[in-house]
Amino acid sequence: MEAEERVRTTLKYLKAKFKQYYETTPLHLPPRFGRREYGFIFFDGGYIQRHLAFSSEADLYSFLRSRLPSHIYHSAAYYENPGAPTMGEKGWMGADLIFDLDADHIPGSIGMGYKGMLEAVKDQVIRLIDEFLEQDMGFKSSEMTISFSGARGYHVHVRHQKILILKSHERREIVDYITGTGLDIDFIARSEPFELKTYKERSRTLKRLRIPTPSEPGWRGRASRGILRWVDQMSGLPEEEALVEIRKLEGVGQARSAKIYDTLFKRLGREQALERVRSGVLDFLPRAGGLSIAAQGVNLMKGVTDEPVTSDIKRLIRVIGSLHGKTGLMVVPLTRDQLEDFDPLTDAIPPIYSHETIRVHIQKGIETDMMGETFNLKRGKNRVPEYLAIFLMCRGMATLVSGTHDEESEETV
Amino acid sequence: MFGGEGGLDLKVLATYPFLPEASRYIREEGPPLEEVLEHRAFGNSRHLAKEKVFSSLESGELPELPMSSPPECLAALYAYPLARILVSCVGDPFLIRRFSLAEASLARRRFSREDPAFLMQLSQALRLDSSIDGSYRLHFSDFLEATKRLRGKEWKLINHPVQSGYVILSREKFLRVLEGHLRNRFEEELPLEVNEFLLEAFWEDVAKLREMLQERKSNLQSTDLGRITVANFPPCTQGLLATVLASENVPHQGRFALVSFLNNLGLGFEEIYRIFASVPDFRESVTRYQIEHITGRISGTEYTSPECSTMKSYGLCPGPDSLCQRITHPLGYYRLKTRTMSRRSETGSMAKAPTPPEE
Repeated sequence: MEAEERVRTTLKYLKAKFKQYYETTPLHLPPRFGRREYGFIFFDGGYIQRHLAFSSEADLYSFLRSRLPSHIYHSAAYYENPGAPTMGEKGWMGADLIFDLDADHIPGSIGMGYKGMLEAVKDQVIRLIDEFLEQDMGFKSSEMTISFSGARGYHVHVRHQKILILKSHERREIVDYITGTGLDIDFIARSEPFELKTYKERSRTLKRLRIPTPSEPGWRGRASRGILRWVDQMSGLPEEEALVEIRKLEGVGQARSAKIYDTLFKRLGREQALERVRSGVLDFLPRAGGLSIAAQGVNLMKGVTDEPVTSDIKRLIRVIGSLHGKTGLMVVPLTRDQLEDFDPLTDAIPPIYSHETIRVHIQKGIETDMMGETFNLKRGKNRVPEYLAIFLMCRGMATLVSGTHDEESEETV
Repeated sequence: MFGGEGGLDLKVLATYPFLPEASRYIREEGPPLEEVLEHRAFGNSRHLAKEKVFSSLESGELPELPMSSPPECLAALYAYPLARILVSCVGDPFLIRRFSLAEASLARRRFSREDPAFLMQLSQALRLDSSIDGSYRLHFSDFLEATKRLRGKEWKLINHPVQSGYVILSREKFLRVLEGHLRNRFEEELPLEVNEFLLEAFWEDVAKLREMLQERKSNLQSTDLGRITVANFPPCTQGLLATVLASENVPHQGRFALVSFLNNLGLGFEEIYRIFASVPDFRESVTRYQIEHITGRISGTEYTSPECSTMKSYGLCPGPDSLCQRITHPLGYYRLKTRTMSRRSETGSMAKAPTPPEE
């Protein structure tokens, strides 16, 4: 009984906060506003309500203030009739190219903790923008909109004129390009004839493995930089550990790993090994070992992005400037430069959330960072700053305590 | 760029009649359509147009046209729009595909004889963002669009040097890309709108073409009929079916792929539902909803099962077997294998079945 009551007052509290936010804070609405489909999820649960269109921004704001959705989305696509109930009737005209990086997709992100995951995903979004979207695909910063997703990741919206009309298949090719999927190792490392040896009237062609040099465009140069990085990493390890790592390469066993290690670091030595790789040869290794190292170089350089989000040309994506209903944090617009120092757990907290403490009941003990402070909260009733209370209530980890009972059992943090 | 004065320019337009400049020339300087369709002077154009359409259907290869004099050039130039009108009068999707492919491959043969600078002029006239600088450079979005039908790994974007938005291509590949671009464009543009007047002008050829197409279709359908044989499924859908029947969990994309595949092979809602209902822990309402959705009962849209590249992206491809090398879509595998098997049983040979799909 009491628990139910608490959930009700919690929801009421959150709705009031969201209302206050939407009354004071403008959204960053997408270009072609009127051609987009909008979708909403509400606090009371239930399905997403989509296929809605608004002819003016004022209409959208009045909808927000009266209905108080917990999540707000717009379509990546723009349509002839964005409000039509089926995709067929909508009349697809084009769609922004969207990238979604979520902490879930970062290899090794489990066990990093919220803060660590957010850092790891930020590194990946910076690589995505700098290496893939700008360097290779040539998009200008004015053609990209970056945002923090409000939870555990980042979104990039690309609005370059030529990519708006690309369909799913072509967009999936772009994802494959970023994630290193379907890369043909022959494109990176090739055996080439090197010397003709003749012995007793029988001739034999010696071959060597050619790899790209670091400054070549696209994946060739990237693979070369990956190979350099790997050789460098190995050179920094004690022999025993390096051998363990080398054996992890595909097709490399005990004997081959020893041979690779000896050649790289005993016969040639670190500097000379790196120099040979930089000049584009791996001829000092057995061919199969060289290929495994080339493949490893590629692995180290793979980018990250969520495939279905990019290839779905009818997807809904969070409106920038809205609140994420599962965290209470803002979907924050960012420039490439702002991204470097952005700390979601400080910078995505809406200014209207106060530092005054309020009382919440916490379901399970939790340690978390916010506003540069570490909070260590035990199960039960706690007094915490409002911004943290809202975050925990949105995540379903705490409920609001109303009234004045139980004063003595409270802990103030 | 290829202005209208002098015989040389007319020859360029006749050689590449799909250029915007060629249609502008016809629109602004040519005689009205009725005259082209009826006047004796254009008899040769009409003849060449029919030849184009019939050979695209029969052999897939278009003949080179004589262009040594201005009248010959004019005839060749007009043959192109006339052929497109004839194709549109028939309005058959298969014919449109064949014709587009044949026109595009003729264009590639002709491109291959041009020098790099002129080729670049042509590609820019086609509104492709391209340039030349030792090798050929094309904006990667144009590359993706033009190569969307080419499924070998040598056509994946990732296996090309890409720099500041441009894919760097060899001449041979650049020519293939131009061909792909034209083929897509032709298919998208056709059919043109036709009226009674046009239908009447071509009625004899339209009837003949329809007859040829009908004959082809009945041949195809007789092999398509017959009940579904699970043994002819490709490794991916066979594996998915096995997983479902073993009541193990199949990811959402996998269920979608299997249900749409079965639906595309002609199984209806009831039959598919029964397969899933045999699973012990099956969730009635969810499954019903999903199958109804995919088979078009709810949305009115029937989904086509995903192609091989999509299956690979979703991690649903267990690795291709030898037959997979010849197809790009799981449905193609089924058709190919069904055809091979029935041919075997017809000849009565006891030859071994094709390599069974790997587990």
